[in-house]
Amino acid sequence: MRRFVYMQQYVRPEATRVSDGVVIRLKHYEVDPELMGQQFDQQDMPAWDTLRIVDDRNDHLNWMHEHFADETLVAGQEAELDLGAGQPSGEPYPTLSEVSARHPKPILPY
Amino acid sequence: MTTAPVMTVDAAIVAELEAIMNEPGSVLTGVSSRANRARVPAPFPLHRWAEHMPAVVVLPRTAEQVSEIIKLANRVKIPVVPRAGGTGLNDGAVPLRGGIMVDVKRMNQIHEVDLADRTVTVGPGINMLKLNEELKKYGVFYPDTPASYPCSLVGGRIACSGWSLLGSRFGHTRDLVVSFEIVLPTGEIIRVGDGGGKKVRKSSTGYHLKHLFMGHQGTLGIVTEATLELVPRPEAEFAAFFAFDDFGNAHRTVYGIVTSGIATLAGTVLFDEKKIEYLRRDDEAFIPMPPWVNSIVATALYGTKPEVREASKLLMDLGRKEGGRYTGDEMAVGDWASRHDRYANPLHGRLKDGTVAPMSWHCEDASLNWTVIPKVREEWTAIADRYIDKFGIFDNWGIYCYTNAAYKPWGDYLAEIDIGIWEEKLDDESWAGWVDFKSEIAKVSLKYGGSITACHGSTRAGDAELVSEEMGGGWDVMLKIKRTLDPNNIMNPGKQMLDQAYES
Ligand SMILES: Cc1cc2nc3c(=O)[nH]c(=O)nc-3n(C[C@H](O)[C@H](O)[C@H](O)COP(=O)(O)OP(=O)(O)OC[C@H]3O[C@@H](n4cnc5c(N)ncnc54)[C@H](O)[C@@H]3O)c2cc1C
Repeated sequence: MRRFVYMQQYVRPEATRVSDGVVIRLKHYEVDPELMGQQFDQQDMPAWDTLRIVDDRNDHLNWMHEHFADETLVAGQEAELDLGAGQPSGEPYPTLSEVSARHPKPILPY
Repeated sequence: MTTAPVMTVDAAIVAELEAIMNEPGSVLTGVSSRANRARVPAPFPLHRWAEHMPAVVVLPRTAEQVSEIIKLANRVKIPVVPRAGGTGLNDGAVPLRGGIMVDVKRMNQIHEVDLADRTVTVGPGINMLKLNEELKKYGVFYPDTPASYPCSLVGGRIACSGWSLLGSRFGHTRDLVVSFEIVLPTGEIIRVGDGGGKKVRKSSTGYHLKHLFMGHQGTLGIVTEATLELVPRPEAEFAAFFAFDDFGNAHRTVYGIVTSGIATLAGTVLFDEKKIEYLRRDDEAFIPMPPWVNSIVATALYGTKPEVREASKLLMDLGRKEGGRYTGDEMAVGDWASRHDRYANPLHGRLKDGTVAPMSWHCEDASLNWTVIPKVREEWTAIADRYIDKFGIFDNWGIYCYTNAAYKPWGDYLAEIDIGIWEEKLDDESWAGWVDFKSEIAKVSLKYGGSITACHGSTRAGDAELVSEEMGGGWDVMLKIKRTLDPNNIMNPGKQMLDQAYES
């Protein structure tokens, strides 16, 4: 049987800041605690309960996939976000006619 | 002439209802049973909760019971409001004049699975998640998949004419419901389809009554059974997300993808800058996007494995053609799954100073053509900014645009702007401000030739006043139909300005 150690459950581990208003702690994103407390307080939860909620959500999402298809395929490619934005093709696309779309003239592609 | 509000019912009416139901626990008069069925997740005037309580709740099991309840309501002139999952994003299931609430949750049986003619016949109280769990063993699937997939029910889907995430591949609720049984506002029980034939998908006999009773928001009767389409369960799904630094490039990418001719394309979603900002700060599906990202295109394929595998290669090229960057496999899998279940929307938002406040979610939807999305987005965002400044209880959670046409992914989009509202702060003045806010958003949709709602319905104040404008000459026809079918204005009275049908 695992012992309930108060300090482990209620002393929250250090958070890592990921952006201006968000930190990551106990495997999940959390609104920066500095921004809480004015309108309502952050809930005081033992670590096991936070972890349970995070894990349950992930299980739930995995389970969700099974509802829609037998198999989930992926591209198997790395995220490209570190590269910055790519170059647009520069090809022309249709645009909105100046006439109100309510009684529109036909909008022709290109 | 309108139906008067009925906020309490006397013991004689309760006794009559009990005699019709003939089952302990199926007629509820307690405050908690009624109060819990007063609201839906859309913004609700908390300060006026009592005005929206039904007088009594009934939980029928058969069409005959529903018919008897409606006949009683006509005799004593009590409003009747149907309620299914209670997830509607306008106030369709919120009683405006008390009365009898008919909660259809106990009508949740699967009556027949017909693998030969490919239909399943169910009660209106079943939800798609439970239905598909049962259908899985037969290798078939009912592909009505809203973001409320686990909790909205078939009756509510029909009454709202719902939109499905996979609709571009499989169709939306109106396409997927082959026929249904409905108890009319005067108590007759009829079945409607394209023509006759419970399991016939296409007919040109008579008027297409199925479409008349699709999306009526409980104002034309109560659906008691539905025969639904079965499709082969997809072997494979594939999702991919692409990030952009420019909304125009993302918007063009959507065009390229939807006009590519990929037959397995089930849906494409465009996220705007405010949506990305929101996902960065508050959404449960937090996406740690680098600062250059200001829009995203999400897209998914469903079908047999060879089809999906081949099409995915083309999709990966199309997603990058206008400068999109692939966001990686993890996000593709995790975030696509969460599209089917947006109940995890957070219950908080931000005030202007960035501090966190408890907020609930309002989603204002519209159907818009692809060409007008950039303009509408600008105008909606400007309206939101004004109301955020003025009232200090709203937050802009950004815009999504989803492919909206059935069986084909191009042309129009379900566009939604998500607004956080600090409901506890609502009073008469800010509620009126909220209604004006909604109305301004809806007017922009009309200005650009769109429809004020793609799937939520137009029963709420702020939208309801604009239905006649959108319907044009059809509005008079609607009023005539309403008055003819519901001579005593029993069914969900007060919704959509339909009281006008009884004015002369
Ligand atoms: C998180 C979330 C995500 C959502 N995503 C989507 C989405 O992707 N697509 C979409 O289309 N909608 C979406 N919605 C809105 C909502 O789920 C749909 O409108 C749904 O169709 C409502 O079904 P319900 O069973 O909850 O109906 P309710 O809210 O109970 O009722 C809706 C309307 O139908 C009437 N009604 C109910 N049952 C019957 C009946 N048997 N006969 C006649 N009238 C009846 C009611 O009177 C009311 O007017 C979402 C909602 C939430 C909360």
